[in-house]
Amino acid sequence: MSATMDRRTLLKLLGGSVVSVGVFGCRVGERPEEALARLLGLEGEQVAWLTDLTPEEQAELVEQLTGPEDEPVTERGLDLAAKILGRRSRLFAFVSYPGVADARSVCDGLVRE
Amino acid sequence: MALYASEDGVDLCVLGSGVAGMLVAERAVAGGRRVLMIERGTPMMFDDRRRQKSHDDPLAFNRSRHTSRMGGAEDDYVARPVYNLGGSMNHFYGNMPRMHPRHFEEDAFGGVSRRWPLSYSEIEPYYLEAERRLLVSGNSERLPFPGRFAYPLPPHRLSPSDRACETIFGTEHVMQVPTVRPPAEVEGRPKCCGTNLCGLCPIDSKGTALNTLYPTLRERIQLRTGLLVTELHCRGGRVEAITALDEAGDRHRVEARQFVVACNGIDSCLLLQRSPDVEKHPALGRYYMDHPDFDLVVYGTGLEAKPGYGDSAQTGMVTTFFDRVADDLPVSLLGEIKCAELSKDAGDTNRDLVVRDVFRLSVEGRFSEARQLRARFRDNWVATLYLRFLVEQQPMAESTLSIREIADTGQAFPDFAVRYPEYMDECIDRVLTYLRGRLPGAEVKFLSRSPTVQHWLGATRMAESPEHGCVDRDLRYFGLDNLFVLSGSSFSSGSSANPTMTLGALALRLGDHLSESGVRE
Repeated sequence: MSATMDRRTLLKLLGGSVVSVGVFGCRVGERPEEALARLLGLEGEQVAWLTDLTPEEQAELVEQLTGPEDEPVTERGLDLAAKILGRRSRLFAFVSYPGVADARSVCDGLVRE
Repeated sequence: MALYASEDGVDLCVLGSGVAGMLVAERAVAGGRRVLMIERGTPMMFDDRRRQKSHDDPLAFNRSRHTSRMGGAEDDYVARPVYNLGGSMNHFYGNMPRMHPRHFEEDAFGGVSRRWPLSYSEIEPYYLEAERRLLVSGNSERLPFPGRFAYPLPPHRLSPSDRACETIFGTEHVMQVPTVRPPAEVEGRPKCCGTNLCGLCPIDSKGTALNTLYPTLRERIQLRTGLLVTELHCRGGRVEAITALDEAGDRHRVEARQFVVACNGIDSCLLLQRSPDVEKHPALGRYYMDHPDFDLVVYGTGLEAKPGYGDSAQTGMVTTFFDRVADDLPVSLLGEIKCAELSKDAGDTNRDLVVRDVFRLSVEGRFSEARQLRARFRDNWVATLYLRFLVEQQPMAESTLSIREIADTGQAFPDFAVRYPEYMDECIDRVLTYLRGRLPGAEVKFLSRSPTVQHWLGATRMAESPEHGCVDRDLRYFGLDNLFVLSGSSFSSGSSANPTMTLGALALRLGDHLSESGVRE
């Protein structure tokens, strides 16, 4: 079994529990959800976006975001990020555009200057 | 049973109620002609479509999805005409540029394309009139077309993506898109709401044949809906009648002095092909063209492109490659600056791909401080530019439109033999190379290509003689004195311009020709 698989297995075993040491990009005493909110710069209600990921997925994404510089983020990491930020309303909020609805209706298709 | 005969006073029978049919009918009634318009679909109005959330017609002979396998590629070619009152203009995007004079006058790629038997100068007055009649919004400055003229409505304000393109391509090569999406309320239609849902405009803002022409035309013509024309009957070099089926399957015979086939670029050709009396010229059903297109994205432009910002679904076009003077491209390309494309919700393939790419770029090299990723993502996002290029398709004899089958309902289903032009990859490479040269620090990425923008051109093309085409410069079918074909199928070549404005101009020109040629023989 590869080292990567070992870490994945461990993450599943830990499954959302408090990570007590600074592994996987989490600070001491910081849960994956908290680490992810910090890394993504999510604020207030935006933290709730993270519930679209399981605790295991959250930890997995934290690991992706804090990996070695020369290790590009994987397709799996992009999948997980897209689950958090993919919806139009979240994406636009994330880039500080004015709020929009996901299901477009009259006059909310584009942001006016 | 004869529904209408010439004794009843039908001077002109127009088959099809799209923008072309309505414009020529309008011209004819203005000249005192008695016009019968036959539409195969139902008289669905805007509210009907909004309730139904589609243009799909309920009649059995109006199935509107036609799919053929592309030659040499894995893509399907899918055409979706609108079969109800107002025709395919109901679902078009609303862009209304003219063709460039060179597109009428020059042989295109390899000399295979034929010149139009019409010149730009001959059609120019009709462009002007069609733009006024259809209330086109645009800016007379910086147009690639010659001469000075004013659009009836002012242009939309350029979006941040358009302004980024001004920096990249040069101000003179960014045109404020001529469009029937109004920048302000006009004639009871609200201003464009910018949803990018123009295929079924949610607020009936976009100009269509139905909301622009029909309100004044409806009291001046006879309109019969729900009749599928299945055959033209000819004798002595003229069409003397047509046969049409109604929903119950009953046959009707319609007589008139003249006939205009304006049934869209697909069904106009199919009607001629399925009518035994009609002489089959060599070009009938050949030289079929659409506008293949390709999408690309530019990351890291260093400019505030701000995708998702704008006043309309599209407000600018890149004309750098439009008139073929740039970069020795063999054909014409027209670039659409898609400020709205990245405003789609999750689930759109290209948009989702771009979101992932921006995330990937933002993580590259990692980051050390909290919130840094978000700032990077924001910076990368606003610097992202999305472009789509329409490619002029070479008219080739082996690109055909034919009848695959005639269903029990009477509907003729088409079969398309189409393939991407050989120069498609070259066009893509040229544009990518051009952008990489202009933006050395940016990442320019090809996203996708498509065989169709739903422009059905060339299958009954205009030419000087029946050896090379099906209709003459006045759109008269060779060999039939009183039959005219008015659709995109009569285009000799396609240019890269969206064709509706040129079709509108041809309709008005035909209207004048019918008046001048004296219908009351």
